[in-house]
Amino acid sequence: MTEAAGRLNGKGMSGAALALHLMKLRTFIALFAVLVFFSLAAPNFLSTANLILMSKHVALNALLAIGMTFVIITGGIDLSVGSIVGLCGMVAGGLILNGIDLGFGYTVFFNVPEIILITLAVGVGIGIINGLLITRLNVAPFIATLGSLYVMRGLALLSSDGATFANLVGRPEYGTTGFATLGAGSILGLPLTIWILIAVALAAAYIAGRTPLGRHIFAVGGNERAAGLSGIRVNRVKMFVYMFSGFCAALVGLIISSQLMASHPATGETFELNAIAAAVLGGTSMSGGRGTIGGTIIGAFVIGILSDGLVMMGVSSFWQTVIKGIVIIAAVVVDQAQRKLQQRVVLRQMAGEG
Amino acid sequence: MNLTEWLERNRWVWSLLGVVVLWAILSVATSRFSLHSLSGVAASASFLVLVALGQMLVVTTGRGNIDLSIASVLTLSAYASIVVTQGLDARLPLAFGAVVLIGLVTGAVNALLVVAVRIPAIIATLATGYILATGTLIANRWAAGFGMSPLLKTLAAGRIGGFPVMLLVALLAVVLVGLLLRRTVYGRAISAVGQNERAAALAGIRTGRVVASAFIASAVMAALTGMLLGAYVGGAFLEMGAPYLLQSLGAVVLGGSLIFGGSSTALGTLFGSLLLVLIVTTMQIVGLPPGTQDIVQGLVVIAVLALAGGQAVRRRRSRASPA
Repeated sequence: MTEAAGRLNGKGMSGAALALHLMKLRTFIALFAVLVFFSLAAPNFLSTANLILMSKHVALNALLAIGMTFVIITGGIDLSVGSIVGLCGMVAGGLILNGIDLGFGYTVFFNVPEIILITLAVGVGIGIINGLLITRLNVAPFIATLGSLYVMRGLALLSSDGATFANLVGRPEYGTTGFATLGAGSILGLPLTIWILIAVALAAAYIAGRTPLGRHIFAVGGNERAAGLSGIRVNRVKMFVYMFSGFCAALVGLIISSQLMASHPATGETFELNAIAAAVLGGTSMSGGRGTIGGTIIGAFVIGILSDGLVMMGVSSFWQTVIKGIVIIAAVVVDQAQRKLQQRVVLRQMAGEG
Repeated sequence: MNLTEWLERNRWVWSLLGVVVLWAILSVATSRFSLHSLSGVAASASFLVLVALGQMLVVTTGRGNIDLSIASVLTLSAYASIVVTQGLDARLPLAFGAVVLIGLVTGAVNALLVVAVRIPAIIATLATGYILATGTLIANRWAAGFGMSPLLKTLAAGRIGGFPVMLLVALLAVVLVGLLLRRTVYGRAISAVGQNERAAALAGIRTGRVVASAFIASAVMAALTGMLLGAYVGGAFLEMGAPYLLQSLGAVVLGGSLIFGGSSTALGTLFGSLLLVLIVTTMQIVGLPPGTQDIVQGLVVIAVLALAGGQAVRRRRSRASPA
């Protein structure tokens, strides 16, 4: 930042504008940097098989990060996504293995599409609870979702007494087979997971850029009071973002259990950090009002490539958490530097015109 | 001063009432619950009290400040104290120094990120917490096979005439922090910053320093607690700090401190911690399956905040509207 400020004083406006452009493109620059670095440092990094494998890893975090982006744009935060992933995985696993015991000797089994719908509904339902806590009961978002983080993790543990639901192949006579397709299937050579990501990302980008709802999300984050006074139903917008975040988390829970053909109650711990990191790295402002879906996805790729590349180079996976923590902090620092610089450039322009 | 006003000023009364009621119910329901078992609850609550007091200071400074790194600080300090003491009393000062250093450094980093770089506390402390968690994974490899320093063990688990030493430590801390908040310029400054940072700054308070000191205090408290807790349970393990994150927040809000900052009560945090540990103990006595503990704690925190937080917002709005 000091460098940028120095340039501002030395060469005037053009230097500052250039620095501003560089900062706006920082996510691309970061993506380019990690790609070049690892293709040189790690053999086989650029092979098609590896790229597809990495995309599959990245897709999970990217899905969570898309939901998180909307939440952060409204000025909130959703710390419960990791627990929702765990709980939804357990819901899907439990429904496939055990069905729902009605209590008098009957057990209802659902087929896989129904199970997927039920699980997604659970995710959205948790989002509704988060949203109600935040909008109706005025609980601060970080507390409300921290509380539901614990509650949902507890429910996940409770659902199986801490055990894993393993071997989710289902039984043909109940019609519960075929769960593996979600995680392992592929269309036109691309894994289904990536198609899901593409679909969700396009839908989210459409909502953000082309619909009134999208404009309202940004308006609420930019200035909640002004948004409310200009007739936006702030509470409904907030409800939507937490529901959408819950939906994305439920999708991830389903995909992970389908990939592993097992659901473990601890799945998804610390996923919230990855999702926040991707969103922040992609240019979403923690103070709300700014962010893009495209940026978030690139952010998710930077983080995913970073962690997979480090594993390929044989760097201990311990260090990945450290690197992620540092990446988040660095991203926020650059974001704030950008905002200060932008204000200064705008001021100079106004001064120049006046 | 009428009763409602008095209750409004002394919000810790509710948590004390909760402790008394829950204890009475338990004593009647299970005949084995006695004053002695309450002192056992108090001993294990003492650790929570220490962590929660630090968390309370951070919360008091307002702006949604919160310390999410305490869980990792606590665990890492437990490991550090074990690795450094190697079961010898002679090395205890060294371990104390190491643990305080961990607290100081973490607190300073948190403070730097929050105050100087202006990263939201929740993100900054989450990130530093994860970085430290990596440290605990590494420490976990070294710490195998070391014993506990006997002196530290006496301090953490010993009793004087049936009265847990740890409880004395916790009570002392409560009194000190309580006096600090109520009777010193610094304590008033913390509350002032939490109520209105700009007004506090205009009144000549160095708000940055005040907020920074709260983060440092919180981390140091968590670090010392980790050292004592390690001695109490007789070792360190990776998840030992995890419950204290939500519980510390829970104790603070149960005790009647405002989550938006500006008004805190050390006494309330003491009773809040007792109440929370009593609730957890109750669940263990009833023998509820794993996971229920998390659910109940999460629900308690959300419920208290839904009740108190709504009230605080209304109060704030009514205060803000004439201006």
